[in-house]
This record gives sequence, C-alpha cells and structure tokens, in this order.
Amino acid sequence: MKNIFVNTKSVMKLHDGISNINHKLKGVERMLLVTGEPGLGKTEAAIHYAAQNGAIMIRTLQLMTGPWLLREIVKELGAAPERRISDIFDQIVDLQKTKPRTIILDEVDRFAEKTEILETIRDIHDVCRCPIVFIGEEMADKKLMRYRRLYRRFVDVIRFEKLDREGVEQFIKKVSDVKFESEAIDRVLNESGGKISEIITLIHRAEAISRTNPDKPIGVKEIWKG
Amino acid sequence: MERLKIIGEVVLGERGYFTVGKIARETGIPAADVRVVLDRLFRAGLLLRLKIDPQFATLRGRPPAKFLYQKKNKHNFAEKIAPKLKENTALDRAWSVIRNKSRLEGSFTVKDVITLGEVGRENARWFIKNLRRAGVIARRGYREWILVKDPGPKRPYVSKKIQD
Repeated sequence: MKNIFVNTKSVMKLHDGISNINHKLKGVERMLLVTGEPGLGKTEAAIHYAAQNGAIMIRTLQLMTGPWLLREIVKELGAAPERRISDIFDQIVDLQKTKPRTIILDEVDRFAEKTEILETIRDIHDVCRCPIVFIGEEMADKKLMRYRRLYRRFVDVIRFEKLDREGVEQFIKKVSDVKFESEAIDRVLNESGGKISEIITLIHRAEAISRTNPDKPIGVKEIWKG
Repeated sequence: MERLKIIGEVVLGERGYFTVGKIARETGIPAADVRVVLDRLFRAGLLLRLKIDPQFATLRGRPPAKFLYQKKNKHNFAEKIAPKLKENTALDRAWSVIRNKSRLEGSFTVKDVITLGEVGRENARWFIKNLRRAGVIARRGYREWILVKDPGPKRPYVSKKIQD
C-alpha cells in the first residue's frame, strides 16, 4: 500500500471551506462546521490540514470546562497559560493577533449541552477574528442548531460523504499496489459502504493475497474465496 | 553568533553571580568580547547587572568599573541561546502529526507521519529514531509509537549530541 494521502471529494470540500473562512473581511463570519459518520476520515483530514497549514487542533473531552479549553488553546498556541482566566483570554487574543492561526475543534458534539463553552468559543471568534472549525458526528449540526447566535456564524456546513463508485475506484488506484478488476471494485464498494477505513482493510487483504502474483489483477474470487 | 553560543552555554551553567573575567577565563575568549556579549544580553533583559560600590574598592585612584552579572530567568536565557529552528519544515509537519495523532488517538505509526505529514520515509524514520533516543516517544506494540513526554507544539530540537 502506498503512503499517500488521498484528496477525496470531501477532503477537497473541507480545504475549500477552510480557505473560505480564512479572510480579513470585517463583518463576515469565520466559522465552519464539518459533520459526518465515523470512519469517513474527518479527523485524518483535519490532522493533515493542521500539519500542512500550521493550524492548531484541540480534542474536546467530556469533562472539559471553559477554563480548561482556554488553557488548552493557549498551550497549543505555544505559550504558558496565565493563572487568571481573564488573563488567559487576553493571552489568546494577543497570540492570535501576532500570529493568526486556524483553530480546529474535534468531537464538538460533546459541547452540545455546554452553553458556557460554546459561548466562550463564540467570544474567541468574535474578539480574535480567527477561523474556527468544528468537527462533529453526523447529528452535530442539529445539536448546535439550538444555539442560534452560534449557528448563525457558520459560513458553511460540510458533510463528509461516503465514497461513491468513482471515488472508490480512484482511491484504490492511488493507494493500492495491485490492480483491481471492475467487479472487485463494485464488491469493495458494497462491502465497505464507501467508508475509507473499511476500504483500506480490504485493500490490505487484497495485497496480502496478491503477494504471490503481483502483476495479476485482483478479482472478486481471489478476495472473497474464503 | 558562535561567540554568543559559547558564552551563553557557560553562563547557563553558572550559579549565582559571575564577572566578565570569570567568563573570559572559562571560555578563553578575550574579556573585551565577553563584555560586549554580556552587555547585549543585559540590554535584552536576560541578565541582571550590579555595579560594585566604589567604597568597597580599596585601590587608590579611580575605582575600576567592575560589574557582577546574574541570570534573570534561566528558562528565557536557555531559549535565547538555543539554536533557531526553521519553521514550516518537513520535520515540523511530522511533529504536528505525531502530537495530534497521539493526543487524539493515543498512538501513531511511521505510516501516519509519512502520509499525513507528507514527509519522506527516511526523514520520518530519522526523526522518530531521534525522538526515541531523546525520550520523547516510546514504542508501544508492533509498529506503534506513543508520546511519552509532550514538550509542546514547538518541534523539539533533536541533535547528534542527544544521540551520543
């Protein structure tokens, strides 16, 4: 299997979405919501974006409180958090002013019930004018819709979709070391349901089978003979 | 720059007060050059400078201008003399992936670093080897690595010195 990050349609949408919120216009919001089922590569895409563009990533936790989140943001921005919460907030504002960076919050569904945290994030967005990306599960947009003031600030809601036939074919072509027959691609699509994590498992299986004869394209019989 | 580094390393190892003469003796650099460097560090707010009261100078005539120096903040001083690392390099991307993967999913593999960081295989392996030797990461299971100590978002400096 090749070590390549594949830019699927959803990944391209994410990149476009983040570039849309990275602007300097006054009065135009800078928040983005990314939703999708588990296993579609949302977090991987976010880690890839953060590595390439120097964004900061924060994994939200169930027990997280407002001050805890602020401290985490300061740490990720490369400074030691102050003692007072008001000072920490000022620190974030100063750090973002000197070197603006996109903040990516993963698993934001956990904040759906925590008004204090969501309002704090909104404050950071309004004061620092920094782009903030929320990543959540498929129902995250519905959960956050209740907070009208926050939801209004989302410039776009991006849904990570399962790969279609064309997507699966391209993914296999780019990543796999062995060739797949057309029927085998259909079967991979059916078996995986278009989920990247499961497609990768099937490619691994196919590559293990084809080790004895790497030039021969993999068919349905070879993979699913067991 | 080399002079600053040599003097900085000696100053960092000093405890309490020190003089220009003492640093000059320890580094072998002329006192005039040491004085220039210490003066620059003092103006940058990294050193404290105390002038010896003339009443304690027992010599006749004009008392010599003798200063005592002390480090103001060891951490800031160490940062100042540390080598400046380039930013947005392949290793920075690799470090970002290592940190984010470890924090979000608990562990990472060389494959993650190569794929998500878009780093060459040899680069990734060299960086991981040196991080392991520096005690930043440790192996967990087959082909899996975990972050043992998190020095923050800034890429840790791993040099040949750490390897030895």
